[in-house]
Amino acid sequence: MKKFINKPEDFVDEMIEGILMAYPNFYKKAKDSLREIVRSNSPEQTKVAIATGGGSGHLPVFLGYVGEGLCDGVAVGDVFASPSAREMYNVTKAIDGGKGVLYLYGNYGGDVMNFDMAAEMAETDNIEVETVLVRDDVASSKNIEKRRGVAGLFYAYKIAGAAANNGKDLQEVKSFTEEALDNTRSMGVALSPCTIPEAGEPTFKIADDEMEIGMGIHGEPGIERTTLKQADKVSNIVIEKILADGPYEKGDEVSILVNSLGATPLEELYIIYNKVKDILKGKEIEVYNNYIGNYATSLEMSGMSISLMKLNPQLKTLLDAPAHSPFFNQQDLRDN
Amino acid sequence: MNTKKEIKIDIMVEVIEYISNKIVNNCDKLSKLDGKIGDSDHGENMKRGFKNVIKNKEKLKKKNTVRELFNEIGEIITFNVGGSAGPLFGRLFSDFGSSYEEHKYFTIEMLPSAMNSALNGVKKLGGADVGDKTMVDTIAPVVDFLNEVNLSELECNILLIKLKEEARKGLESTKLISARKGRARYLNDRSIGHMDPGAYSCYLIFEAVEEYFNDNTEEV
Repeated sequence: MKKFINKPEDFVDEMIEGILMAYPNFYKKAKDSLREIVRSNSPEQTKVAIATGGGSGHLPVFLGYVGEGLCDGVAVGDVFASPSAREMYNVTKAIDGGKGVLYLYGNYGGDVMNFDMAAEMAETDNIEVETVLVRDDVASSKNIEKRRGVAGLFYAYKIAGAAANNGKDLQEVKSFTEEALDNTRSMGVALSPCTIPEAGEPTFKIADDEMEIGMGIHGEPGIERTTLKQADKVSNIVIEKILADGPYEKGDEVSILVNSLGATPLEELYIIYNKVKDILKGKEIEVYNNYIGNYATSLEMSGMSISLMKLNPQLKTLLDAPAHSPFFNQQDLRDN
Repeated sequence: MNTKKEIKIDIMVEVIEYISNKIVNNCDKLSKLDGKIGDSDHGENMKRGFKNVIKNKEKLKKKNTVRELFNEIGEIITFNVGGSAGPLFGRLFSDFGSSYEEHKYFTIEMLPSAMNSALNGVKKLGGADVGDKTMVDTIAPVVDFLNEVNLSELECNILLIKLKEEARKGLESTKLISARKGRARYLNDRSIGHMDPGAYSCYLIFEAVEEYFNDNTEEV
């Protein structure tokens, strides 16, 4: 294991301390714990609050999407492990301005158990809570209900955050987010594993000339391990799986996210994008906009994922709304 | 044995404290096991949770019913352990006592139904079954034994030894199988050969209960 770390057990806390040091105007602790981080101006009385959370190791997921026009608070777990229900509950209390809280996070067992318990606790405090699970990973199951959440989290945060900022109520924010996710599919390809600092060993083994199609962001097995192919072929495999699974048709407009799993450089992402855009053009699917970079990572895993969100006028307006965090910035792109 | 002998709340809290100390003292062992198939933090997480149980000892003694007591313990564990283990061990305790809204004491007679409820709660919450390499593998043989045995024909000290042995058997079985639940499932067959840390924590509970009663002279 080669990493810039001190004691492995201090990895998460020192990372959060660093972020708080770097962006003191953006973030604050909900109470005393480093694992409960909220926007510095929380709670806001004028809008629905959005809470997220999950294991560390995926920056900018989850903490990086706490910001203006995005989420309001986050519970931060150990690397690849769910935070506790207490942390989620404390975040909930700190961000609720009276209009309710949307729990928005990836569909993983530990997170679901803890968020559900936090919701029960919040409800005894008369805080209204609704939940939307992100399950965009096409490769993780045939059954949509069982799918895991990966880079599509980005679209979920973007849409939910914009809807909340537009003054939508909790049910409306929830339904816009669900609509966005119904329209979103993702799939990843991994080339090399990552190492959890406290474990010290790579999460899986893969030969130098192999890739795994559909691997999850914690090294969950994908649908096929095969010899490494050229970028265009990989793009083709992934985009075909996504198109076959999702609601995409000729004439649709989509947003594309080409995401690095951590170690894959931007150069390679643009090589992928080049082909993806070409394939979509051939199918007469118009690319409305794109996001290319590190949006949902898995420590130093190399690999990439592609996400597609089909747009309609309302989703387009929400996607174009401004958003600001230290990890994601977008100006107001809406025409008015 | 007299299966109707009453174990009052304050004694139950003593047992819980004994269990908690056992978990806290085995922190390193648990993290080491977790290091083989996970991320080495199970011990620390459990320690944090059960230290909080010990810290709340006096508050727990003031609980009026079995249900209230175990509900509070479950909540402390859920809120302080984190990860998946928090809710699962929390549920184990809270569902153990959930049927006893009126009871101000526990009896051996209540044990089979309490353990069935605890097991079902954990299975339902985590979606695991026997053979998935989880804490369920430790609890299930204990419950099977309790469902079969005629409690009045066994002495209490023998019963507790039997339960511990059943739990141990269940725990050992996790060595032979690959994980189908929890993070270790991503290792596929590489998890074979190692005990599941959650199953080990669960075994420690049965070991602690046996030690508490059999080393203490007080007859149950």
